Amino acid sequence: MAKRTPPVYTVPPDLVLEPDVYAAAPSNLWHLPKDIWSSIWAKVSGRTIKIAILDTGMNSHEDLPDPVSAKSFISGQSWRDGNGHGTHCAGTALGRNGIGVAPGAELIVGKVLSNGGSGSSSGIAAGIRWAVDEGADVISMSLGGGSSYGPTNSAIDYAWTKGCIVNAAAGNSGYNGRNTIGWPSKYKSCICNGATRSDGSIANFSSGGRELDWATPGQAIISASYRGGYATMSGTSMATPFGSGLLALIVELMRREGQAEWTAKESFNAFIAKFTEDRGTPGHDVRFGHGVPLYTEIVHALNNENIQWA
Amino acid sequence: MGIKKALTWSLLTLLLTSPLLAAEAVITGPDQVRPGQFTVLSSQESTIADGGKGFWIPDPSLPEDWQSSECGGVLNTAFELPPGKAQVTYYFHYVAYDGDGHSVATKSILVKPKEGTPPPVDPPPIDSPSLVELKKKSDTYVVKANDSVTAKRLAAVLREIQPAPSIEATANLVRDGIEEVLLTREDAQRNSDWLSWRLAVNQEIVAIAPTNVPDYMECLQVLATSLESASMQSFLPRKTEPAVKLTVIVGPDCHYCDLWKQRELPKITDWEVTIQDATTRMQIPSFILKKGSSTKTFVGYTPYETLLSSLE
Repeated sequence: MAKRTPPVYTVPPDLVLEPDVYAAAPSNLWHLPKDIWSSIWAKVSGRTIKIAILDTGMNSHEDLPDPVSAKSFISGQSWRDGNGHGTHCAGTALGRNGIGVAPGAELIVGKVLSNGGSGSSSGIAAGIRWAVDEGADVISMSLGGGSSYGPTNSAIDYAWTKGCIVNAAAGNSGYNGRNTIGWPSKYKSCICNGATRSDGSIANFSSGGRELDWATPGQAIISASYRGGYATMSGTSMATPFGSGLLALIVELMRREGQAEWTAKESFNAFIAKFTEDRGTPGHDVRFGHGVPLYTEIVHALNNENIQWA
Repeated sequence: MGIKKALTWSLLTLLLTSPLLAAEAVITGPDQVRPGQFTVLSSQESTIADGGKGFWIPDPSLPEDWQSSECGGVLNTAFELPPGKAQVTYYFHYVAYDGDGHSVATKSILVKPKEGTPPPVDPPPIDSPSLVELKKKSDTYVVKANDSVTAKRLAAVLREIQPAPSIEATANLVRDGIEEVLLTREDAQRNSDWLSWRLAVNQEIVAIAPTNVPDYMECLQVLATSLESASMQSFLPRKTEPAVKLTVIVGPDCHYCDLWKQRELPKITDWEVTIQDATTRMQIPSFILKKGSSTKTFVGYTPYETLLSSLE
């Protein structure tokens, strides 16, 4: 019997790359409006939480912290980013100065995609396990491929056993009635992240299917450029670090307030079903999943401001 | 000499010239342990020929409720100091036997608290009924949290709180201190529910309604005492909580126990199920589980949902 070739994962195909590059980020980003996020960051910023960005690596940037741990799984390439995708994702997840969702979080960088934007499935599986062992609380993977790979799935299950949540991009194949969710986000233990536009609708490129869990901003996202300054990119690749940053805030709040952490994806589902705005077809649907997360409500609910004395 | 006869002679010669290994019992493990310390005694270095066996003879002076689990010749247990004794020595024997004879190994274990560990001091009695109620409520949720490491750290924070000029400012210091401890929990401590403790004791303090800093500080000292007593209790083997029991099921050939622990244990968050015992025989795990008044033995790998429905 012919041996099955392991799948190759890539930056999700059909990614829309915008050419705009800015020397300075606009003072108010559509996906992180200051009137909402300033009050959120006053309460929670992802402090002590480690987000692992498994991507094309990362370059130094004034809005990005030095990684607490970094490793390349690409033969012949250091963990530095020669593509731009990884640096942009890191900026959205935890960039400082208003470009990232969890600006207090710590960064782990695993280069599992080459400067050309592709990587071996075995390298990605190894990257997940490495990030978990490095203490990652959240793993963000803006990558995907067309088929399942057992070791990657096992690595995602391993992450849950260590209290680490894995969030991955749904893919950029759009939806026309056929399930277009990519792997590993299609795996049952992985959180599957779709993309929305600034008007709140689902992005036309965002893949759809019953595995979709939630949708976060992913079109025209301004974040750190690997060449310095800021760049605009679109895709579920950009929505995923947003979701991962939000997960970091949730984990900080839960841990700080004294809750027991989630140990299975079912806990995430139960939580997020209560704290998303239902869009599209009523209830969980193939385009929005549970819906769009209600940031302020999440923070308010987890922050337990009624605890006055202890 | 025929071929058959020659072969028989060769086989007999081979058998007679091969060294015959007599059974030899060997016990390895610590000579001294602290009360409550997880202890492993191993007989795996024993030599027993095929078809032979080995068995443990625990010290008959061990208390009736002493518990252990054997897994592949490895005995996992913990010892408690008998009431009123500063230290105690227990003797364990391991008997190995096969067709060539038998051998007995003996191992003594001194159970003694760590040098310099102060003896538990009874806290001063609490006079106020409302403070008694506060401690009772705190005790309940501290036990449920089942996390002596965090309990100890929380107690230390509360003991170190210096009264601020106002009751509100003091409460802010308390909340910041508690949240810092909780945020920096590591490993298994992150699985513990301390939010329920916070909500419960907060509700009690609201009922007490302290109006000045000294009254509030008194509440904090009661909470610290409650947390400290939980820390002390953690040094004793616990009889009903599965967390301790599960540490004894990890053995060198306990693959399925480990599998069960990794896959199913994380789902047990409500502690409704008590694991009374977990052993393996021929690498097949056996769990005695209890939920409410229902007790049942499960052999082999069983999904948690099936366990729960079987117990109901």
